[in-house]
Amino acid sequence: MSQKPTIVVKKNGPYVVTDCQMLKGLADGTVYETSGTVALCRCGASSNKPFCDGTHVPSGSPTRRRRTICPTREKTTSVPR
Amino acid sequence: MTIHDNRGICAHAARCTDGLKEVFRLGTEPWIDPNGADADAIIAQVNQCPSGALSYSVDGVEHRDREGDPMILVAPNGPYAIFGGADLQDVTWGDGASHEHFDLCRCGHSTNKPFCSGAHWNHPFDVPKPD
Repeated sequence: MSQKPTIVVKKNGPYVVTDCQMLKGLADGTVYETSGTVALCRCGASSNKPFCDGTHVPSGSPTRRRRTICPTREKTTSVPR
Repeated sequence: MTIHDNRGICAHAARCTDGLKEVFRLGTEPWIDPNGADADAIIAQVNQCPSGALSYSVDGVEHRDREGDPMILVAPNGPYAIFGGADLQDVTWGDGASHEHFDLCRCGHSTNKPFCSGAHWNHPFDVPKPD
């Protein structure tokens, strides 16, 4: 079995992944070339996804305040649980 | 067998409710009907759960982690799906969470960071650029 990656969650920044042996697109199977260490976007704003390009969405921005808990596939407003 | 449902770490990928509707019933309570399909079908479906919210036990032994080489999958408009284990540093894990497969937030809106909470459903972020 190959080496497991190490993932560090940077505060207001990306995931820094070392020993990243396999990074692949789930939809089309695209394999991303990595040198083993990558910074992966975790704010959704990078123009070079899945990699971080330094465009971090500020944590106080309006988009960050629109939070929703437990969305469903139907986008209904209330689902009994 | 016993089906375990760990709601707190579900990423709402909906593999179960899409893949085996007879057992994993969206909008019905209780939402899991263990008699809706045979054990092999349920096990195969539970093994598709990316977040680790679903697992199962047979004869009192829980089957939570899976075999496989480490990989990070990038889900379109969804999270990073980790399989095969990763050393995720300085993170508080949910009780009963698998350290072998889990989903990491990619949109920045999760209510359970760094894990995915499914919040990307209401915040599409991975929209293809126009040509």
